[in-house]
Amino acid sequence: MSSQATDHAHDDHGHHVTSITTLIATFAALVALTFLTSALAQVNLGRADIWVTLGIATVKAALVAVFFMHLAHDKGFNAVILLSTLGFATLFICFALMDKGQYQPQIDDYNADKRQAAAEMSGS
Amino acid sequence: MATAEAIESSTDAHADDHSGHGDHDHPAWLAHHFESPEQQFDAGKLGMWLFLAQEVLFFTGLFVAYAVYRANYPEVFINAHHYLNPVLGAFNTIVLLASSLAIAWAVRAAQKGENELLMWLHVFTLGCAGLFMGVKTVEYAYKIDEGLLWASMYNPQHLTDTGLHTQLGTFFWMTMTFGVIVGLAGWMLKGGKSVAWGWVIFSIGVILMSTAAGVVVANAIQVSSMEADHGQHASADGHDGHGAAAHGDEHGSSHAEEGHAKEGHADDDHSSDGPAADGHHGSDHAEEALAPGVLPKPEGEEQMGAAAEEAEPSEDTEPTAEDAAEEATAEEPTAEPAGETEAASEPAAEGEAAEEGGAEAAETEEAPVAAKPVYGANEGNFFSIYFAMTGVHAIHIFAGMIAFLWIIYRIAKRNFSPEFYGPVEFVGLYWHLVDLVWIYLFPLLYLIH
Repeated sequence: MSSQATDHAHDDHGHHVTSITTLIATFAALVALTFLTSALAQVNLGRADIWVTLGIATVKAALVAVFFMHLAHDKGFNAVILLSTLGFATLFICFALMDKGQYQPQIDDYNADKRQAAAEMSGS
Repeated sequence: MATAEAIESSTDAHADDHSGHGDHDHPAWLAHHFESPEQQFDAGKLGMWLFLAQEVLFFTGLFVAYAVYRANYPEVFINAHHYLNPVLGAFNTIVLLASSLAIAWAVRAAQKGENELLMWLHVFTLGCAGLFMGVKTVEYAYKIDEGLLWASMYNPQHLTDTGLHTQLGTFFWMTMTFGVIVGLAGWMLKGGKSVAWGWVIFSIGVILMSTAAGVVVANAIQVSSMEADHGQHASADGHDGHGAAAHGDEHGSSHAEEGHAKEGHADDDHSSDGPAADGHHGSDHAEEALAPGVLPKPEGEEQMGAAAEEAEPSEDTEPTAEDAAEEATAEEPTAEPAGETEAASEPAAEGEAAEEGGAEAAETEEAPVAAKPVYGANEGNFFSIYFAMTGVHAIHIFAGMIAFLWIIYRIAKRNFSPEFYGPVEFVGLYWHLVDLVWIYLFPLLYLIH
């Protein structure tokens, strides 16, 4: 079992072989960020809360993607796929959130009807 | 692919003993529709990335549901997260991160032809997956026992001395015993003639054993978390055996008044609703079939909501005592500015109303409620989203386990070499995605604050 810990060697086909140091360092960073995000849960940052949380999660995701999933040394197109997917996912969430209040009148009507029906049923 | 036949030596680049092609000089594992191993590898990787893109988008659908509900009912989410144990969530996160490390390392091992390391790293990854599922089992068991299920079955109650969570010990012994037996059987098999199947069966044994281990660890963490909370609220209400759900409950009982005050204060937008709000708090809801009235709406309909709320204060005269005993998680001081006061009381109301609507309400108030009068989002909705997201994620973990068992079979068959390790890398990519999804799920579900 060869164990060159820091080789940035390439295998027979020129594929990059990740060094053990890189793997362990990435893992350590991921664990540290996990503890960070857990600790920050105790702190109230007001409106920044969700953004800090998402930011840390995104950094962790980027570490996994770039190092564990090898995007750093892959054909660039694979990274394009991932980034454009994330772009579309963002669009998806943003458009849905833009609309979040849109159906409130219908919801209120429905609830009013339910309330009415319940009132009639309990005969109050 | 022509590789599935039991070819013991894939390093023989010119094996031509595959179904009568005597004259090809390409590696046995190179499929005919590819011109070169390089193209095959790149195509495989591209295909897997496209699949992962689809996976990201379909999880995004669930995240959109989460985002919309959280944006519209932030206080529900803030209250509901008390039901989840962040220590278990963090533990699961670390476990999955370790499995990702193992798989990334496995790809390296494959590239360097280190077959034995490759195999053990995959077994380790399966162990991590089993551990994860064991923790999930404990989490779900407590949720079921506490009635913290999806909206239509949401029926919060105190943890009692019966239920699934008391069966966890039995489950542990059965799973561990079975796992040891299966593991041993596999171990012996792989020393004999069925090397590949032996490894597969051994790996299944490892999954079972690590699931059992996960159950033990998670239950220990859960119980100690519950006891820690108990200690903090020792003066609470003399209830024993509270589940995680009882966190809010204890808070409610000991801080009911403060909760009221805080909610009255925290709500700047509805200063006019102060009195009504406080009345609501006390409220619960025997007659609250009607109470839940208006939901916390995003903006702009406060007037309507306020009016509706104020129309019902007369019903909200129930003393807090009974509520305190209930799953009054909403009593937890929610300093959430966006949540209207009604919103803050809604979850309590919803929880109460839902509970009473439920046939087996822990403490039924007098009001006969024909149907479950849930108006608007409550913790049940949070749990619908929770179970959908973690459930779909768990299904992906199962699928990953099956994929890994297949890879382990092929590793044992010595299918992989520095020249050919595509499947190892591709299944590894899938597993990293499963980890990625959890990286987002963990803070969004467990660390809401």
